[in-house]
Amino acid sequence: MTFEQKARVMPWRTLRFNESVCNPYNADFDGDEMNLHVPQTEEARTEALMLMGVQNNLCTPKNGEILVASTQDFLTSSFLITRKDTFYDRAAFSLMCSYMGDGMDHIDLPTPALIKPIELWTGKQLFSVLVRPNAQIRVFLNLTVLEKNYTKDYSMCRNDGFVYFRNSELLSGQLGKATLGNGNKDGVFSVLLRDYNTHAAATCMNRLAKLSARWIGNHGFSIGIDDVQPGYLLNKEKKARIEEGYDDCDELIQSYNKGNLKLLPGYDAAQTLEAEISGVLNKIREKTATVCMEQLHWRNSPLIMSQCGSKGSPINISQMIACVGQQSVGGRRAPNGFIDRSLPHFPRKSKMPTAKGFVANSFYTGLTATEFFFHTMGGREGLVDTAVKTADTGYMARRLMKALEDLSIHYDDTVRSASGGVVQFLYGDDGMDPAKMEGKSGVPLNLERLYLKVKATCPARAQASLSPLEVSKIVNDKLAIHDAAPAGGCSVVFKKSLSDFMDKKMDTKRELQLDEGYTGNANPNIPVKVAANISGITSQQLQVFLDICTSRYDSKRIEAGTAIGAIGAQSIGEPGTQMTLKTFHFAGVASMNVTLGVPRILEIINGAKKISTPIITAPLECENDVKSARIVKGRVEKTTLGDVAKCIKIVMTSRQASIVVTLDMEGIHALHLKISANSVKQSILQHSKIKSMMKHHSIEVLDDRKLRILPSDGDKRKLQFELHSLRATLPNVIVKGIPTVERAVINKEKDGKCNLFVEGTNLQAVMGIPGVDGCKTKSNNIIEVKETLGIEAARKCIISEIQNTMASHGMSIDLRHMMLLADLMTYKGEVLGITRFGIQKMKESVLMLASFEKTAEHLFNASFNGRVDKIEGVSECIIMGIPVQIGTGILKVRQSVKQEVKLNYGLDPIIS
Amino acid sequence: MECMCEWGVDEGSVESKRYYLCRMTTLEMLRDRGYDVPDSDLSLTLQHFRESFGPKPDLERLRISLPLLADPSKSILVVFCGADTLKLSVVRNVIAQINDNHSLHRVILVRQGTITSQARQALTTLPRVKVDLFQITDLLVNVTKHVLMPKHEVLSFAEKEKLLKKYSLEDKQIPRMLETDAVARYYGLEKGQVLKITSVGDVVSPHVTYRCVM
Repeated sequence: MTFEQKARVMPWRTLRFNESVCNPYNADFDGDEMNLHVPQTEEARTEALMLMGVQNNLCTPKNGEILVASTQDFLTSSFLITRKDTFYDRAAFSLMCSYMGDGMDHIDLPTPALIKPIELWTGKQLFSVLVRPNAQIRVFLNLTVLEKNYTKDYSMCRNDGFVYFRNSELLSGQLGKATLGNGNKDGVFSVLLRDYNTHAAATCMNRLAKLSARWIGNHGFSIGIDDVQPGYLLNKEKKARIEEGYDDCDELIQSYNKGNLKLLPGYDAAQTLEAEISGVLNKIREKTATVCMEQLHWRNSPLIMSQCGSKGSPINISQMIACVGQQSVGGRRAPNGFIDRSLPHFPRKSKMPTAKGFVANSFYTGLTATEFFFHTMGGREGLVDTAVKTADTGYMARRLMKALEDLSIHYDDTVRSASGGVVQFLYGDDGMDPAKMEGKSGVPLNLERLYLKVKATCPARAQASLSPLEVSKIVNDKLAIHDAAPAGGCSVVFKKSLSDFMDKKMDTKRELQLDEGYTGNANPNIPVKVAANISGITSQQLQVFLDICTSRYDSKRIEAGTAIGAIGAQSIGEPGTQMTLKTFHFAGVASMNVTLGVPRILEIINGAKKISTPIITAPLECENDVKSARIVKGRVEKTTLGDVAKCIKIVMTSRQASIVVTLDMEGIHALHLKISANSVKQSILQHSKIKSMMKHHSIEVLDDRKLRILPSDGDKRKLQFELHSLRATLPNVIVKGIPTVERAVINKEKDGKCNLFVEGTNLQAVMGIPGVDGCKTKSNNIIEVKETLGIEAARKCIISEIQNTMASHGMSIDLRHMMLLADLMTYKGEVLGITRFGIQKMKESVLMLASFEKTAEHLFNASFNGRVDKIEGVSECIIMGIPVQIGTGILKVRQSVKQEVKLNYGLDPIIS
Repeated sequence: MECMCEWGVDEGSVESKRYYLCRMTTLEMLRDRGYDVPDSDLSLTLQHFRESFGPKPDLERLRISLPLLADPSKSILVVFCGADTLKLSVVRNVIAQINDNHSLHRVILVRQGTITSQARQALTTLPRVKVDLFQITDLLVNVTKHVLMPKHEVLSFAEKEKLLKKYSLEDKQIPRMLETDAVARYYGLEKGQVLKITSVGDVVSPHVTYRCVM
């Protein structure tokens, strides 16, 4: 199936494909089946081949990373082959060379790395052969990748983690997942695909698959009990660490019981204890894990697998060998299932590590009964998470798809819905195809790598290198010519990045002060030569570099007709399934939680009016002054009369009854609040409940800290009730701050600057508070941003919020997809959620809405109102069984007929 | 930014700062709408403002009346109202003044308290003059200067027609903006006007899009 254009169906209804394509098919071998579709027309066959063929879909449009790449065993064997100390004699090397091409390829054997006493080839040379088997194949691979275990000093890295291919020769580095695996933009296969073509990448993958499958079959690779046996040193160390940690925990618990635990900011005593204990216990696991990893033999199979990235992580290994660690349910230690304890094996109210789910044993030593039970508790949470998550994300993906299905690129570069409404005037602001982006974070080209390639493939030889002035002139000229070309120039950002890049490359020359004066005289002195070697570029090299940049930039434009909506919906929906449902996360400061993960994505996409953790980030006008930050905090945070009053008491004298409020002026001053008896009087009068009650009440200000509130002169029998209800209401009167704000936290950045995190809503009020820099205040509540700042700000907010949420889970999605989603949500002028109500406002088609939700309702209403459906969108066309106006269907062939044939549908004249 | 210790010397200073910010934003807004705003007013500092208007500014004195740059016979009036509920009687007073001045084509009313529905009704049914109602809290910060805000420009009728022709569009096919949107209110836009929006982002900017006020 892979890399050949036809499926290989084997006897007994089985099929065979290259392991590298497991990823895009999401295939594994736990009973997977596949279905066969046989296109019936030549047109359909061509479309299937061109659009759906594996060859043409090596990259994911989600972010342009390579999706079809080596996995599992292929990585392991490549890792083992390219070890620094692996050498092969002529027989072994030739045998391995013939593995990769079934013995049918012509191979030019490279010069052996060692000649005496016997000829020996390195494993790295084998990969040079693999990339370019013979001189006729003109593939010049140039790349540098930092593998997972890279330390420092480039090719002198002690772990051999710096992979450097120069003109298809592997110079250094042990190959692993970063070079050969998926999810990378600078790996071998990505570079082959971008610099050459799909065929180059595919044949190379095929060779690697054949080589590694055959090689590892002979070499053998397995895991046994001795791989997970802890050594003497590890056992000793582990025992010491656990004892130490338990002692620390006991101390903490004791000081908690005595009540002299030092509180963390924003936490109460119990929370502080939990946080501290969790910290200690995590440290035990981490420390034992590091010792464990250090003690492992270099031929340990799990270690090899985790190093090359084929399977497993250091945590998995240390859980098998050293210590399983703390089990958690809902982000906390094991909860109490019995009265005041987790299990009846422990004393009541015990907070000991073992009583709350700490597993000190390893999987090798075996778990105790209680440990095992805690482990199952943690395990069950994971299972429940996956079960719940699939339903949630599945529905989200369906809604996204329904909302975005009919968006496509038109020939004027606009993104339009089926009815012709413009959603974006230029797709993703630059009209580039996300699937073809080479650089990190959606930049079209990786200039650094291209520069490296150009310098390697066209050597300078005797040509003189250019001066910085000349370079910038050539760059600007080239860009100007390209702009004038009919194919259309490049975006401003790209031009800027290109000239900035060239400018930076000239830095070495500048530092050696060789810039303007040097014009290439006859006998260049030493520094000039050095500079030319380090950063010089000849005019030919520069020309080639610029040509490649511009031509490749042009080839990355998105094609008209692309169903970019559907692609975007998939790109945002798919990562959702991978996100763990773990909801909370610290946002820099202690105790300020922000909803993340699937729930947050749902909030954003639903356009929820009320979000679970609204947070306003407010930079201050005086950034460096903590005192002023406190004053501003006092103005923002809600303060009730109960917070600042020393006492509120009912005073009865023989003549009158009243309530006297005494303010705690010391406390008020300490908190830098500007509250006086007069201001309190005003706020009491504004309180809605008291306002209605207090028509005739009067408030007297006795002095600057005392107030007297007299009840109305009405019915004396009700006086007692009135006084008491007043007494109960008064502490809730808000005397200072914004009522909707729960609390505000001062956040100190690393550079000493302060800003304010405000938990709660009312962005406008926070912006207007004196001392807050209103122009930089942001909120994560999209609806509120829309209300205060308008639709364009809301659009930006949606983009940044989705981006933040995805980034915090390590998902990289091209910005263009999120822009499209944000634009769709805002193009009607209000923020529409991707829900049945929002979609109803976005789309006109009845059939489309009926195929989504509330089918009968939509159809009845439409028939009652005599609605018309033009059958333009995707759903409608599918329902009616006609080709969709998207993709290849965007084209129509029309014939100009000279004279329309007049058809007569009336009755035959003879009969009438 | 002046030092924090200067703040809250008395209640008046906080209040005067509110008026100052509000007045500055209003002036900037008028400038962006194309009125002839003197530079001396735009560069007024808080200190000077306090000196000339005192700690508790007189609302009558705060009033702004400026002519349109393009057509000096048309002018705008900005009226500031007190903290009490805006009642019909107050509004009638303002309306009487509007009717006296025939060059007025627009009035901005800045209120601090709530407004009664009758008063609102009276303002919307004026024949010649369009009244924009702002809350003082709307004007403490100039929303167009906010970091999340891209640059907005109002297109002229000819420019709009050109745009529609270029993309062969109808009015309703352009992305929309509500008339109640903060930006539309800032520019005092009416239905059918088109805004050109230039955003300066990070990866793929600068980028131009359009929105039609609906």
